Amino acid sequence: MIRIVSLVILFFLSTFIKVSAQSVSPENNTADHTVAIQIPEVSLVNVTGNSVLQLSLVGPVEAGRPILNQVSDSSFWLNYSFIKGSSSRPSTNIYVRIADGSVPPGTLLSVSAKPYAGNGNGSLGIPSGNVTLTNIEQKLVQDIESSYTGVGVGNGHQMVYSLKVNQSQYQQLDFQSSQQVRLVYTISD
Amino acid sequence: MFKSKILILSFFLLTVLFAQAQEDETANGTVSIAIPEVAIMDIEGPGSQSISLVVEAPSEAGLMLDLTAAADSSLWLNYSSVRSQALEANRSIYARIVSGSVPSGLRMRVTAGAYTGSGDGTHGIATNGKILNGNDRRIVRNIRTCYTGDGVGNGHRLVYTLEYRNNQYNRIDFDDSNTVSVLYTITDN
Repeated sequence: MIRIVSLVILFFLSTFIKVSAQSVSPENNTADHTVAIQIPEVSLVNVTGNSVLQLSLVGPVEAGRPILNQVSDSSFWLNYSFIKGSSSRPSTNIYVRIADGSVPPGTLLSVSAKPYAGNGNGSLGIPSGNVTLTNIEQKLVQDIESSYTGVGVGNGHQMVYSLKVNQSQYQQLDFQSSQQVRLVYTISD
Repeated sequence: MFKSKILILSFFLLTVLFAQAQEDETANGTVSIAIPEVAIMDIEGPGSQSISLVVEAPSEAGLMLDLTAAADSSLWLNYSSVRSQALEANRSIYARIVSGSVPSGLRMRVTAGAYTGSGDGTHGIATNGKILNGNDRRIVRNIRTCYTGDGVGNGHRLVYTLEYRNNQYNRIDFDDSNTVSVLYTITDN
């Protein structure tokens, strides 16, 4: 008899506990939402330095000598910002060409980029070597991935311009053929 | 023997009931007050609960991506809590990423503001901002019995920001734009 009574009590208790457990079961103790994150395509390039670059070949100091073979300038810096798209454009390059004017006959104008320096970050480009400028695009810096150089002189790739006499065309030198040349830099994959 | 005990018990019960029914000069009732355990939460926004973090392209070659606009503070955390001192002295709210991933090179931080609104009780204390990943990170702690009020302007404001991962700028990829789902959970024993 006692057993039966205690069983009945147990049954009642367990039912009660079940009911009360159900009544407090939390229906929404979680909540979620979505965040869309968008990253833009970026490819910007700029050349910074003192406005116009002047390269002047210097005449000989003594009769019988040639004019000085080469003059250089390294006051300009190449700045850029690039964000890659792994499937559409994993890396980029910087190209240079003469857009207006031409180099005086008997001379060669060339440019080379030095290795990256500055306060930028990321996977910066690698200099492609010395480029003799023409009106056809040539690669100056290559394999740029997501990176930025920092802005202004001292950031990016220092560029060394050289104007030199083309020894095989010395006879074409003409002081009245001094020229202004406009260069265009393009960042493109 | 068994039958007779049942009979005696039934008789006894009937007598008690009868006696109570007769006694109508003084009313004697018991009021049972049940307090439910409560642990519910919700995320409220001005419209949908989907937010966008848009990274801006730099304005000048050489600059990094602009993360200042890649922030959102439109969502609010609402909750109602009735705790049991014996079962759970206080509660916490955790957040984690349940689907999608934050683009490479970046990380997402969420920071809850201090409680404000039309609620009452002992509200939770916002923790310092947390970088979200696939594991629960505690956003609000020490929630006791309280309610925040419902909707925008009640509870804890959620501030989402994007940050750079150290030395991973090269991994940023515009093809990596992504949607991330964040799940919030209020603990409930």
